[in-house]
Amino acid sequence: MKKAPLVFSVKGNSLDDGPGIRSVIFFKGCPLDCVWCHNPESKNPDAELSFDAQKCVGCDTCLDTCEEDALSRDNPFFVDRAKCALCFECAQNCPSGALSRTGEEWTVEKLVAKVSRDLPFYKTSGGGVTYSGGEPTLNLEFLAELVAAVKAKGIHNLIETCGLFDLDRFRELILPHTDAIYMDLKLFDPAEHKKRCGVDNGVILGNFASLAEEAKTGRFTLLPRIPLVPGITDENENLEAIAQFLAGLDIHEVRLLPNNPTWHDKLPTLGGESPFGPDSPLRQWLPQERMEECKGIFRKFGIENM
Amino acid sequence: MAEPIKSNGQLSGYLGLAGSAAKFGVGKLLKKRQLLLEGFLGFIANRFNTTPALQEELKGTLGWINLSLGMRSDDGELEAAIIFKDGRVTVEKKIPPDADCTIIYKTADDLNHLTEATPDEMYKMMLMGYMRTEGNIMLSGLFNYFMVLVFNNQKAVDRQIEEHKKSAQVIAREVSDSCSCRAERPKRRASRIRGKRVDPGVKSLEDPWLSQYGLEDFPRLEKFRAEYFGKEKEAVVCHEMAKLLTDFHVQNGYETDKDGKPWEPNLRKALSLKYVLENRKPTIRRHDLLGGTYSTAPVSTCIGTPFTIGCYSWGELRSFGKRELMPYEISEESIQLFHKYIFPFWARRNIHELWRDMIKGGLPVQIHDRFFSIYYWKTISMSETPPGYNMFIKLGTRGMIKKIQDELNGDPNADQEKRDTLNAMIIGLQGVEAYAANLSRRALADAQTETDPQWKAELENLGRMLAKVPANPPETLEEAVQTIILMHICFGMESTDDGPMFGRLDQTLQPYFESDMAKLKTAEEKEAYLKRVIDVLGCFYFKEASHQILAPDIGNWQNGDSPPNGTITLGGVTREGEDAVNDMTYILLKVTEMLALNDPNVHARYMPGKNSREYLRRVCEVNYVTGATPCIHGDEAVIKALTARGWDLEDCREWNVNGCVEPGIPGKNHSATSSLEVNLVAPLEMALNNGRHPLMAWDLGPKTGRIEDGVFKTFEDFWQAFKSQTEFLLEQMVIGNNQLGEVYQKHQPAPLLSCMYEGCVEKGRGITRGGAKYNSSGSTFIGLADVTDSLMSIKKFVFDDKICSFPELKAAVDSNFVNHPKLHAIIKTKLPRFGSGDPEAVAMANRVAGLVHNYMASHLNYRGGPHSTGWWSMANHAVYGRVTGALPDGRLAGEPFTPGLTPHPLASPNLLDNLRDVAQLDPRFLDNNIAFNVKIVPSSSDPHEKIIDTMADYAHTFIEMGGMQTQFNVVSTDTLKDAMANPEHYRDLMVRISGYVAYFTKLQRDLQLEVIRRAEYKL
Repeated sequence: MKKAPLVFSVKGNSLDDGPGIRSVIFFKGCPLDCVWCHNPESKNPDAELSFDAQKCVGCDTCLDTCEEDALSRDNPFFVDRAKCALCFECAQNCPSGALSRTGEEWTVEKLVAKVSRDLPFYKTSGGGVTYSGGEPTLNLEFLAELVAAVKAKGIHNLIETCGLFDLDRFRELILPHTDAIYMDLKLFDPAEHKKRCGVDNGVILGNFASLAEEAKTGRFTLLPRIPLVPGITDENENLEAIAQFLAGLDIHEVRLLPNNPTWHDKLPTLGGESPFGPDSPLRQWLPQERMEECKGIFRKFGIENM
Repeated sequence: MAEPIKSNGQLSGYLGLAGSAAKFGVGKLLKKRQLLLEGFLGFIANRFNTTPALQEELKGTLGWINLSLGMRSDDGELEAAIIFKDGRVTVEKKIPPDADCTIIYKTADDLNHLTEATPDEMYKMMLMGYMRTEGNIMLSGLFNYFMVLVFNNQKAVDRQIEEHKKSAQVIAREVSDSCSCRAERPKRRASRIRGKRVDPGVKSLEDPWLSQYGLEDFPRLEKFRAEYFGKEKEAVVCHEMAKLLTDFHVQNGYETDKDGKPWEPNLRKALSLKYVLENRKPTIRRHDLLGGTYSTAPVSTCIGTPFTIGCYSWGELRSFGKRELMPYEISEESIQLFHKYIFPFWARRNIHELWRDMIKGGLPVQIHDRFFSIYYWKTISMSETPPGYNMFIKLGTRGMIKKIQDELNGDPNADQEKRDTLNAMIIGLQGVEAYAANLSRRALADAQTETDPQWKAELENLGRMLAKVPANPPETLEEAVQTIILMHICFGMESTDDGPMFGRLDQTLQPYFESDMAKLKTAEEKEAYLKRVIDVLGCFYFKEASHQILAPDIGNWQNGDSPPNGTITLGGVTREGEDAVNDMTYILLKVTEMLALNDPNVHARYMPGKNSREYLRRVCEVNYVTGATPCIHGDEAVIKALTARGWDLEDCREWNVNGCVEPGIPGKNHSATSSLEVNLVAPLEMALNNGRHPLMAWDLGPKTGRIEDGVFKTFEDFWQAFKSQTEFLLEQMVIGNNQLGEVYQKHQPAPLLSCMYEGCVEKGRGITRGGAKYNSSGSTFIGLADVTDSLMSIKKFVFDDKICSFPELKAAVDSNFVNHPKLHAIIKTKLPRFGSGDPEAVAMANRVAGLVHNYMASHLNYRGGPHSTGWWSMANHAVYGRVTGALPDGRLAGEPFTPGLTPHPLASPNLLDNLRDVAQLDPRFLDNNIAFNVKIVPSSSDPHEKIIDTMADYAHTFIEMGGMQTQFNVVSTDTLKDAMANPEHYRDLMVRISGYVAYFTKLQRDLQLEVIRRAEYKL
C-alpha cells in the first residue's frame, strides 16, 4: 500500500476552481516539472520546510532547537537546505509560523469532515470539492477512497489534473465518483513539452482524447484549461495547434488561464529564487489585450473561453 | 465681534513656560504653574471686562449670561476658577462649591498639551481621560464659546487637516490602479439586469427590477442629487424650531405656567409643539413634489433640538463652519439667537442636566461623562421607535382626534393622567393640522405668482393635497406618502428628529399602489403613473436626507457621519407568515439603487422558502450597485428572538428595523432601541485589574481579585470575575436608563407620537409611561469578538496549554506586548478566534452573549418591559478601541475593536468560517440584532450576474443556517485608500459602518482606517 499523499492546503470559499462555491484540496507532488509552475511548493511530494522572513519576530527559538546547525541569520535564505534534515522541530516551536512545514498528513476521514462543513454552501451555489495540487492522481487509491466518501455525502467532485495518469485505473477508480474534470493542455509540440515540463505529452493528449469521447455520454464534464505563459505557452503556433486538436475532438469550450506572477514570491520561502528575472514578462499579469487575442485564436476554431 | 488673537503663540507662551520650568525644581514649579493658570484665566477675564464687543456677548436676551467654571488637575497642582457674573469676569484661586462645572486634567502637563492640541488630539485626550468634565456639560460648552472668541484655534484645525491629507497620500501610494477604482461605481450602475416576475405579491410590474429606468429619466431627482452631493457645507444650522420652542416657554413658563401652577408634562409638551407647528414658516422647496421641511433650509439642515443633542454645540457655534468633518453653515443671526437666548434657557433644562440634578451627580452620569463604558443615548434623543403609520393613515388626524374624543367621552372614570394625555394628543394633532394648512395656503399663494407652468401646476397640487391630508385619510399613494412624511417631520419637531422610523413601507403603500393602478386603463397611463410614483418617492427620500443630527465635533468620532436613520424595512413575511414581497418592495429598491443615499436607511428582510431567490438577488444587486445598502436580515432568527419574549407570533412577524438594525413592532412596541451603547471590553479590563479601569485610573468595579496574587486557579475563576464586573455595569445601565426614563416622563413625553401606538389611547398613557402594547429598551454591546477572543486566549494559553502564567500574560498586556514578542507571536498565530470555525470559540461567544442577555432580559425598564440585547456598534468600536489598552488576544492599545460582532479580520482567510460561526450564535441572545460586516470585492472580469449570484448564495445559505443579519460592503481596499487621499472623486462613496451607512470621505480618520483594515474577501 502506497504511502498516503501529503496535502499542503485545504482552501475554502474558492470561486475559481469550478462551478459554485468550492473547497479545494491541494496535493503535494507532481509528475511534471513546468518552469512556470504557480504552486512551486506542490512539485515535491515530500514535506518541505518553508521560511517566511516577514513573519519572523527574531526570537531565536529555532536557532536553539536546530540540531543540524542548518539555520543562520548570515544566510540570506536563513535555511541551509543541504544541512536541513527536515525534522521540523524548528517549525513546531516557531511562535509566529515564519518557519512552517509544507505538506501535512490527512486521513480521508479528516478531509471529508473538513470539506463537509461547507455543504450548505455547496448546495445553494452548485459548488463542491475540487482536487488539485500538485497532481491529485499520483496516488489513485487514496484519491478513490476520498472522492467516494465525499460523493457519498452528495457533494460534487471536480478533478484538476495535468492528465498524466494510468487511464484504465483512473477510469476504474476515480471516474465513477467524478462529476467534472479540468485538464491542462500546455504545449502541443512534444519536444517543447519535454523541454518546459519535464516529460513527453503523448499520454496526456491520449488521455484527453479518450476522456473527451466518454464525456459525450454526459456522465461527467471535461474542460480543457490552457495556461497562458508569455513567450512559452502563449505563442500563437502553440495555441492554434491546441485549438485544432480540440476542434478535431468536437470540443467548443476552453478556459484560458492568464499568467499570474505572484508565485515568484513563494520561491524564497522554499529556499530558491525565480529563474525569471525582474524584466521577464512572466513577472507581469498577462495584459488584457493579449488575453483578447488568445480568445480570438480559439474563437476562430469555434471554441469559446468559459 | 472682537477680533480673536490669530496665533496660539501667546497662549502657548504662557503655558509653554511651564514645561521648561519643570527643570527648575518642584516647589517653584508648582507655584509657577498655578500662577500661569490664573494668568491664563485672568487674561480671558480681562479681555471680556475691557472689550465692548465681548461685553455684548455676555448680554443674554433673558438676562446676563453667567457661568462659574473651575479648572483643576488630579495631581493637586492646579486649581482656579473663572466666574462670569452679570457682565463682570473674575478669577478665583479656589473653585466655589456651587460651580456650574469643572474641567479636570490628570496632571498639570495635560493642560499644556490641550492648549496647543489639534481637535483630534484633544478628543483623544478627552476619551483617554486626560481631561474630563464634572458638572453641567452644556455650560462647559459655553466656556468653549468664550474661548473661541478670545483665541482662534483655526491654525490647529488647519494643521490637522494638512497632516491628514499628507498621511492619506502616503496610504494611497499603495493603490496600484486608481483609474479603475474610480471607474468602478459608474461601471456597476451602467449594466442593468432585467428581473423575472415570480413573486405572487407583484401585481403590476412586468420587470420588477425596473431595468428600463436610470436616474437620467428623472431630471428632478438628478437635480436634487446633484444639490445634495454638491453641498459646500454639510448642513445649515437653523434656529427656527429651537427659537419657537423657547418663545413658547418664555411666554408661558417652563416649570410653572403663567398662573404659577406646575405644568402637567403632556399638556406642556403638546401646547409647545402646537405653537411651534402653527408658527413655523411654511417653507416649500422648489420642484419638490411633497410638502413639509425640517427648517427654513430645505436641502440640508440641522434643527439643533436644544433639550437634547443641540445642547452640546454651544462651544462650536463660531467654529463648526471650518472644522475638518461635517462643517455647518450658520448665520450670525442664528449664532446670536442660540448663544443669547436659546441655549441659556435650556442650560439647566436639557435632559442631561435634569438627569444629573435628579440623581445629584450619581454614578451613572459620572460613567456617562467619562465616555469609556456606558453611553446613555437618551441624553441625545428619545431613541429609535416605530410609529404605526400603517394604522394612522386609515384615520388621518381628524379620524384620530375623533377616536381620542370617543375614548374620553366613553370613559367617565378616566383618571387625570388619562384626561391630560388624551387632551395633549388632540392638541398635538391640531398642531399638525395647522402646519399642513399653512403649507397648503403657502403653496396656493405661490402658485398664483408662479410663471413656470409645470411648477405652478405642482404647487396647486401640493396646495390641494395638503388641504386634504393628513387631516383626512389619504386615498392615493401620493397622498399616503405625503401623510407619512408630514407626520414624520412633526414628530421631529416634538422629540428630536432622530427617532421615528418608517416601518414596513412596502406593506403600508402597496394597497394605495394597487388601488391607483386599478383606475388606469392604458399602458401609457400606467407607465406615466409608475414614473410619477418613483418621482414622488425620490422626493420622500431627499426629504428624509435633508435633516442631519447637529453633531458636536466629538460626535464625529463616536457616530461618524451617522444620519438620523429614518429606516425603511422591505420584504419578509406577513402576519400570517406568507411572502410579503410586492410591487412596492421593488419600486423602493429601485429608488434606493438610483439615489444611493445613506438615509433613509434601507433594510431587506429575507425568509428562505417564502421570499423568492429572485428577490434576494435583486437585493444583492442593489447592494452591489450602491456598494453598501440594503443590508439583509434573516427573518426566522429575528422572529425567534422576539417571540422568546413571550410576544404574539403574528405581531412579531410584523417587525421592522429601527435605526441601525434593531427590531421593533410598528405601532405596537415603543422600542427605544438604542438607549444604551456599551463597551463590553471595559468590564474585561476591570476584571484583569481588580475592578480598576486602567486608562480612566478609576476603581469603579467590585474587587474581584488581582492576577498578580495568583487568585485565579482555573478559567472558571476568572470567568466569575468577568461576570461580576459585567453585571456591575449592566446594573448601572438599567438604573441609569430608568432614571432617564423618569426624566423623559416629567419633561419630554411625546403625546403626538403616542397617538401612533396601539394601547396609548385606551390606557390613557403616553409611550414614555408604558402606554404601548409592548415595551422594551434596547441596549447594544461593543467588542464581542474582542472579548471572546481574549477569553479564549486566557483559557487556552494560561489554563489549557499552559504556555504562560496568568501574571506573565498580564505583564505582556500591560506592556502593550513590547517586552513579550514571542508570546505575542504565539497568541496571534495560534489563537482560535471567533470566526475561525473553532467550535469552542463559538461556544465562548454564546456564553458571553448569554451572560449579558440573561441579565438584560430579566430586568425590567421603567415602562415594565425587558431590555433587548444587541451587538452593533455605530462608530464606537473605533472610539472605545482608542480608550482601551492591549488585550489578551494580542490586540494592541488604541486599536479599534471589530465592528458590531464581526470576527477579527485575521480570524480566517475563509469567509465561510465567519458566516458559519456567526450563524451559530443563539438568536435569543441577539434580540436587539447584530451588525456582521462582510467586505467583498468582485474581480473586474466577473460578469454582473455572477457577482450577485455569489452574494445571494452567501446570504441565502447564511440565513438558512440561522444567521440573523449581514451587511455587505462591496468595495475594494484600494478604492478606500484612493478615496482617503482623493475625496473629491468619491463624494458619494458609501460604506456600511456597523448598522448605519456613511459617506466614506466624511468619516473620522480612525474609522476610515478601521474600514480599510477589515478583511477583504475577493469574489
